[in-house]
Amino acid sequence: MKPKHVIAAIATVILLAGAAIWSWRSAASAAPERKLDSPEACLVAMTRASQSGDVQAYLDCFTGNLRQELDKELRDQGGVQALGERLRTSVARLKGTASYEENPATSDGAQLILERIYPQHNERWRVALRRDGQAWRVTSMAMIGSAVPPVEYGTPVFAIDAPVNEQQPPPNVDKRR
Amino acid sequence: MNRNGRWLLGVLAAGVALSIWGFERLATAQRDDATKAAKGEAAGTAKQPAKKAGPAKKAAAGQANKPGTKKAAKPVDDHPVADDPNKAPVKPTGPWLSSGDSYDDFCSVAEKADGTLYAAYLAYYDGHDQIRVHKRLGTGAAKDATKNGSEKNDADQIVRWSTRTHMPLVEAVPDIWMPQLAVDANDLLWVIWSEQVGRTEKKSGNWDLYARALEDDGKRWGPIIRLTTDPKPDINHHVCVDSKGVIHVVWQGHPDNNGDVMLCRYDGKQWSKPLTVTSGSGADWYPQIAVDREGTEWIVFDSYRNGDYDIFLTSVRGNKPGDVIPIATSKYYEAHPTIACSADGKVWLAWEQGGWLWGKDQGHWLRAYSKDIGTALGTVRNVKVAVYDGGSLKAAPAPPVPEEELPATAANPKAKRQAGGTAMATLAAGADGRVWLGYRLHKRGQTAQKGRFKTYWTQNVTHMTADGWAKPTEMQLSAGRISVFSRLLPCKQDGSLHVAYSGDMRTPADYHQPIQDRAFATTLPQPDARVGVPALSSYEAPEPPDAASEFDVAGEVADLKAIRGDRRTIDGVEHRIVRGDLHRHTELSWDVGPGNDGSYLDFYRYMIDVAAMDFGSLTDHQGGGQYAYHWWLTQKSADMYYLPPRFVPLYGYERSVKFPDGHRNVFHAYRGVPIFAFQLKLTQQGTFPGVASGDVVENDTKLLYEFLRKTGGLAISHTTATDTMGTDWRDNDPEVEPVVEIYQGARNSSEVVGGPRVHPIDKEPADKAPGGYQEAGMVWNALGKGYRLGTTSSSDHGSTHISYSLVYTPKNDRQEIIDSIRKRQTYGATDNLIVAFEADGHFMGQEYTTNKPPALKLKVHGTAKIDRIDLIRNAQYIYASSPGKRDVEVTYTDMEPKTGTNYYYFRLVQEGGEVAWASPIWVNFEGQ
Repeated sequence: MKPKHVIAAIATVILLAGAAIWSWRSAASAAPERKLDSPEACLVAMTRASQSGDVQAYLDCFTGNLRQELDKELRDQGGVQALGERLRTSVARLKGTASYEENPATSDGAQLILERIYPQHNERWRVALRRDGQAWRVTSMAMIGSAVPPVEYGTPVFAIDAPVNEQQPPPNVDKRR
Repeated sequence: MNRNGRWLLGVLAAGVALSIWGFERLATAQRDDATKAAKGEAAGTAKQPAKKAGPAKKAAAGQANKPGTKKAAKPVDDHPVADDPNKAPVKPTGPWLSSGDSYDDFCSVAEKADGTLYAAYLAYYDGHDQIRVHKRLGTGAAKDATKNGSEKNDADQIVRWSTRTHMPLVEAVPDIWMPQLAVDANDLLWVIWSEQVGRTEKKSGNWDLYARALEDDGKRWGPIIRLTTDPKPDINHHVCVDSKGVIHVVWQGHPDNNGDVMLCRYDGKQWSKPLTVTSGSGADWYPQIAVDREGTEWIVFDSYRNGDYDIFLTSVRGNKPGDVIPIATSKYYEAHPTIACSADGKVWLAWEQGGWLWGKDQGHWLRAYSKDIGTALGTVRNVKVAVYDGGSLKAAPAPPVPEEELPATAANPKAKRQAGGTAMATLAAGADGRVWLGYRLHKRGQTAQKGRFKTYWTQNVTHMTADGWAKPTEMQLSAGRISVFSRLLPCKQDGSLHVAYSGDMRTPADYHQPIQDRAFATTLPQPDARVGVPALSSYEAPEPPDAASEFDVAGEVADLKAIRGDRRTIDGVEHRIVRGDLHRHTELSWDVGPGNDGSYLDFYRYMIDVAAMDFGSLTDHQGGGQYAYHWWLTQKSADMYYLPPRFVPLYGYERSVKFPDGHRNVFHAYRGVPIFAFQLKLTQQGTFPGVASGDVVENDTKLLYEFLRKTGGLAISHTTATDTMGTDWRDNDPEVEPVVEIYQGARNSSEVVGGPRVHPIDKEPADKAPGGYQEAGMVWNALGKGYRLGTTSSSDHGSTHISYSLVYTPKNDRQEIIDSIRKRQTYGATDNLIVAFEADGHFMGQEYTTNKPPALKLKVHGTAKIDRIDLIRNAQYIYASSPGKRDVEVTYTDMEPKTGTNYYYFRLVQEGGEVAWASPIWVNFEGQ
């Protein structure tokens, strides 16, 4: 084998390995959206799809009448691009979401509370899901209230008044020397 | 040589002679000072010479000071005893056995039919244990001392012992536990010991009992006979010989990983197979045996079978164990029993009674809210004595405590808590009917800071008279630890008593500092007082203390069952939670040692039974003050109580470099790694520090990290936000320092200003914080610097049962635990909560990269309703809720992670104030 053939073979192996690693990492990072393997995973996927404006991934999180309504909205209100934009806009001020079971899930049904976290308040939604084959999908969503959280989003560390003892040495004083 | 030359030579010779004489005088004076300091201070030597003495008393005179010699600081005669008919105090005979080349412990004696006395002890010598045996050669004149090297006493009589012989053991480099002597029906001397066999560099071996006789008139050792074969530790044995010369051995076996009482005998022909005397789920500890005149074997032991330590008695006739009889079953600590059968057929029992709910909840934050329901492991305890006779239990007087050790003065109301206790009782009954009692006495040394006393323990012996216990004799040079197992052997020839014990030569001026553990065997002469027993009344259980607390045993059992049943798959491997304490001190720590923290052996009681830990470590300062024998005991006991999967001890110590470098606990999965010494500057005066130092070189911590990388160890910083023990987070190495003790039961949390159980600096000044206060050491600052630190929680001095290090690990194994901590698969908690935190399939402690909004999932099982959940990202609260349920599962999707590295963790607070801190997850966010 000539040297140029050796170099070409090595380069091919490196390229193939790189492609495999890229493919594996992409698959790993994309996996949670595709799986919908729990009610919570479905809500995470829904939130992520909203933020990225991924209409297909978003719609994939729903089933039943709600899914039909969303499909109709998709047809009636400007198609994929417009819905994608509306999804992005709807979560633009959203800081995060928190979901937890309202009641223990059964094998084919679950009811979760979804908190949508905003800078000064949290919205609370009741979300019903059902198992649809291997995936969990949303069947209904309804906002049930709004509340001020115990600590506002983004409250920083050391957010208390000045210490009683003003003589406290500064943090980095080395008493030893 | 001319005249001038000869004159000059003469002057020079005279000068040299004068110098030699002066030097010798100086050396003699120094030796005398040292001897006086050691003997006079520690022994409290009796001063009166023996008069009208028999052989034993003549020997006793060997201990008396010569007339005119300097008086001891505290003569033993000062001990107050009511109506002592014995006007002349007993005086011990006999010198020390130790040669000075070893650390000696567990001394035992046995006497042959002709009165020949043997003594044996464990000697820790050059990295291994030996059993050294001596034969007493009798008494002789002082001038003989120089010939045979025996110790000379201050009088004209000496007790001569043979040079030692080393009894060959199973292993060439062995670990030995509690060697004891006995003489059988054939008048052969036996040594019975526990030895660890099969230990490798990375694995603990097994502890079994062995016996070996000295045969052929002492010329050779017989074969080694293995008495036990169970693959779990057979330890803490006790040996007695009945009137027919049958040797009886009881011990603590662990066939099901908790203590059971076992028994075997040697009838002069063969050793019997082990007989199980007790079994079951309750842990039985430290059995002792005595045989009555009818041949019934009486066995006393303490047990955690009722959820606290109680005393039980049982009997064996033939091979049939009898009923287990409750003796002392209050909720006080009742443990370390001893037994003797007196000539009149009565069964004498003694044990120590300590605090209420021993080892239950204790710590700074609980005291602040009066929720400290338990008592610390080393709090005051006192020996109780009772007589079991025909099915009834009578209370006998407790041994006297010297007035100067009793509580308490108005100026020092804490004095009661610092000394005056008695412990580690040993009973013996002579053929003449006399009952003897040995015990350790907790004494005050010199006053230390803040009016507290330095304290230590000495060995004392007394005997029963018709008027109660006689004036105790404080045994010479017996100052030392509480954990000294002495042996009493009534002399077959007369009414004297052979006493075997050890001490570590510490002095009241430096109560905390052992000098060298040494073994002693001596004989107390027959007392003049007639044998007798005062009128005894029925034994009544002690009254509970005022406002006695109760503890919900069933609730804790259920919580532990839930924790131990939890399984979680991490990286494809099933993990369980193990629950431990990585910061505990004992008597081996020189600061609080002899008082508040209890013995190194009681550490295991606490960990295995009271706190029901899965793993943990002794972390005495520098492994016990950089004192070789303490570190040996620390490591050896970690092998002895290696009971996987029930309990797995790590090898650890605390390395206390003062702020700003900080205190760290150091751990290894295998034995034999040396203590990493303080890297001192040449500025510190005095001895090498045994507790803490601030005078270290600039790169001391970095050198520690290098040492730990090479030895596979871990370090964990503690109380980081104090200005005495804390740090300003100048150093961290994620490989060897992967977690922090975020909360300490003895003091505060170091999480963040305003956090739960953090010193409330907005309400109380910094000087009210135990250990001090500074904010640079808050853990959020370390996380802000980018350190990868998981969380643990542990106890420190005095605190018990309120701080836990919880580790997700594939199995409860030393190396697996170390590896799991290194991966930060940990959380800290003040109670038995189950906390699991993951993000996109990555478990807490891990780091990963994503371009999607991270989905963070928390699962909690509380011991009460969860009052508050906080999610922290990059020094900001991003989510808080109050679920009000015991079981909570919440998934948070973060829509605004910063591009780059984000750390997240959950903190939980229950109704009632219990807290848990999950380890962070680091998310490298590649999105915008």
